[in-house]
Amino acid sequence: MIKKEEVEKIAQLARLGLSSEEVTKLQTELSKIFGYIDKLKELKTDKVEPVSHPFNIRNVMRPDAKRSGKRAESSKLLEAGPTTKDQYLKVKAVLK
Amino acid sequence: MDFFNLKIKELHQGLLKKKFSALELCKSYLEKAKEKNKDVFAFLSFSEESALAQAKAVDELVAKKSDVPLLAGIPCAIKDNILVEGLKCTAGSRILENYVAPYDATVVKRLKEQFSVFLGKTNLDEFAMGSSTENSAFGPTHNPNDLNRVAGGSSGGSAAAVAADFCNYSLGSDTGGSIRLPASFCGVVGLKPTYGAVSRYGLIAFASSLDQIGPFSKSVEDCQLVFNVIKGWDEMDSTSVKINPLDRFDLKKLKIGVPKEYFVKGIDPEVEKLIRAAIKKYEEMGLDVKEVSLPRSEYALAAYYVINPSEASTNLARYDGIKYGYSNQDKVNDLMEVYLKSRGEGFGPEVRRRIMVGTHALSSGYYDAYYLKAQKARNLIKQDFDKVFEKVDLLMTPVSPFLPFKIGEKVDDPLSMYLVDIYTVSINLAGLPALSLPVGKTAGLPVGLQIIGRPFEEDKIFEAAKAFEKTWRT
Repeated sequence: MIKKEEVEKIAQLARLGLSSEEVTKLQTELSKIFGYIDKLKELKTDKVEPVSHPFNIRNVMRPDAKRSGKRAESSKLLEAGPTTKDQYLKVKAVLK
Repeated sequence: MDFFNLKIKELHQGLLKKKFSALELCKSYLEKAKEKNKDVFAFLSFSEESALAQAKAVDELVAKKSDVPLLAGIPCAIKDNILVEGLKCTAGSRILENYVAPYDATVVKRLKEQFSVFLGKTNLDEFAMGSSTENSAFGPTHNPNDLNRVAGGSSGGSAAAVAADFCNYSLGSDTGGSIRLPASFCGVVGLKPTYGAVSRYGLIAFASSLDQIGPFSKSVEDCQLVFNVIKGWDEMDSTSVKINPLDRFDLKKLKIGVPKEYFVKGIDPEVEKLIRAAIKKYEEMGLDVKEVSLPRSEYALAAYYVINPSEASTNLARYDGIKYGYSNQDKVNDLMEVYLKSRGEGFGPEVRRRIMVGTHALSSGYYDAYYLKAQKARNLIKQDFDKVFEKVDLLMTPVSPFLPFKIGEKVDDPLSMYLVDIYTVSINLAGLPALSLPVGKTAGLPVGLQIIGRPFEEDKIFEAAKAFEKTWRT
């Protein structure tokens, strides 16, 4: 069984505010899910390369060129921000 | 006029010959969808105004005798995790409840270039995480074949919309079965293309190494037509690929493999019966059918439920209450509290669960045991397919061991819900194309045959599926 403190630590890493009931519930659920995942331990993988992708695609580059219409684009994206000021997203003070 | 059983080519001819207008076609679908949507809940939102304007534009094209593309005027629906400029895109989540798409996804752009008509956005499990569409923050989609049952997921809305005649075709996305499963449960055709065949630009990211967009339709031919429009390289998606056309092939000479690991205990006997009968049809057509083995199949689901949540927890870090989406900045003291509250309140239970699983699997001290191990397992699963595809051209399996289950039946047990995907996830891990083909019904509930092909050999899948369709219709 995954410990309660561990669930709380994961939630903090994941930036999820959870109620104490949910922490308890997740303790059981995560234990069950990772119990199932432990099946992978049966598989011998010493000499196997890990793959992150179905096919070998690496370092796809585009030309380092200026794109037009960037100002209009960013204004449009900023419209979705909950709090903005001028051309910036506004956040709570980071430095005290 | 009854448009609902006409194929795209027939509708296209009807429009060209002015048997009916695109506006009539659009209104006819919209009327039906708006009337019946309260029972099925396939659509989250309608875009009536823009749809009618798009239809009128098609009628003008026809009147001016200018070039009328094949999909012009054909009414479609788009899963609500694919961006259509100016329309809300919720991903089935409270966190994006009021998010308006600032641009078109590449697939949408390509359909717009064809003058297709967009009727609205369809329901899904929140961020496409689920197998029943019950994880939508806005309520479940009901299966048009039996309203007490689930439509499958996560693209349940898109599948149900086609099955219920709310649109001619639709788009969904498939990360571990999210097109094939609802296609099977609703009794329509659904294709998960090869990874890289269709641009993911404008698809709300879930598990990026697994996600693919694909079409739903009533017929294989229509599925292929839509796929041909949306596929192809796109500079906005670095994993998209230029596809070379296949060499000519003779359907009768294709070899079919039936992996024995997909017919083990746990499969509904009625499902197995229909699948076996469908495969037998291919034998009767003269195709070479043989049993094959994918020995590492039993590890696919475990590997998938590490890789999928790991990628999801990373992708979903962007929902921070600052850039867009739901934000709770009331009575908060610092930035950390904005994150905790906005994400804790904005995400639903399954999304929170997967973020937790993924964060744990990727965290220091566990990475090697879980994530790295799963990536190695993924390699072995892929090798199994590579090996078997040296001997056969196509694989045939059930899409799911189960029939559509009752709404509410599995919601309280996340692991039993994950097991619904047991026959579909390995295909995403290996990046292969696979189609769900309706091959019959038992007790009124549809069953789908999964046809899996080599990378970028969708056309072989289509031709094999069409051959079955022919025997089915006669």
